[in-house]
Amino acid sequence: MRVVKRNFESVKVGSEIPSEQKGPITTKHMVRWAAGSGDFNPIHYDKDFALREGLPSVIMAGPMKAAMLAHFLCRWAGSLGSVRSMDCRYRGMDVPGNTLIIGGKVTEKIANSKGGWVVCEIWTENQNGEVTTTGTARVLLES
Amino acid sequence: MAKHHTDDIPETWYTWEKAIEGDPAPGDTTVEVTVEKIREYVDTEDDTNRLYLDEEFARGLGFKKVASPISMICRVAPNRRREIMESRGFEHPVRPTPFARWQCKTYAPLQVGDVITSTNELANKSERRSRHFLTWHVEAYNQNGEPVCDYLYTNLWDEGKPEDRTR
Repeated sequence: MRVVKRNFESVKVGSEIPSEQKGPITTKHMVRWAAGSGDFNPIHYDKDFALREGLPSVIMAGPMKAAMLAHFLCRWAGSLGSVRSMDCRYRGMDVPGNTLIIGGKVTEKIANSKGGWVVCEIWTENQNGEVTTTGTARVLLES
Repeated sequence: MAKHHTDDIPETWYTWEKAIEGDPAPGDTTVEVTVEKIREYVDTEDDTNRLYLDEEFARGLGFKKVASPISMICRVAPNRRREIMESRGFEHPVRPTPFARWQCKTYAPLQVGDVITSTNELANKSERRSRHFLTWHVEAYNQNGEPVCDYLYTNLWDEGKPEDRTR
């Protein structure tokens, strides 16, 4: 893996964070996530239960999408950056077979003596063009 | 999503009406951050970032050993809403309670060797367009008592009564 060293000054307001693709998401991914996160809600791995509850299938856990967004930002921020806060809202369901595009955009910069804060919009969008997660994040970057 | 009408709801379920802001989880939870836990966690996401897997690489960037991803805080400082409900004699509703929002702030990186203690409570009940939401608050501290992270975790608890829906 290449070591990214992104400094505060190199980031421009309005610039897009290069998007990443995840998937197609499988039930196996969801089961592994349930085990790793300790979230054993059956709507994420028991299709019969999910269908009985009126869901289209098992659905991705919201925190799984938040984790994907966090990793996306961490990779972008690189070794001089630190993701310090995230606020994610879940707008739609993602099911097995979906492919997610993880995206982001820089909306604001706030300088301090060592670099500064970069505020970003972040989102996930599926192959149907549906934005299923939206959010904001604050990343601390050094000079 | 399937609707569960009031008449169908077992008395034992922790419903929005029964929830009381400030309901706490019994006691604290303590989890040590280890290299093995980090590897297990990132493996569940197929995350091959060398920062999380390669000690020499991570040390070169200033970490004690491997680094850990921000989202792993939910593993080491878990949301314990089931225990909150059980401590009041209720059980988690057996129906979907969709995750609506996650708001997380971090104050220090999770380091290998850190012992993370966390507290949980029901922070807030809210209602919007007759839909009922519950927001849980988790605060996490390291072995020195320094705050590491806190997060709010909101679930859509129920759709409310049909007659109350405004849209």
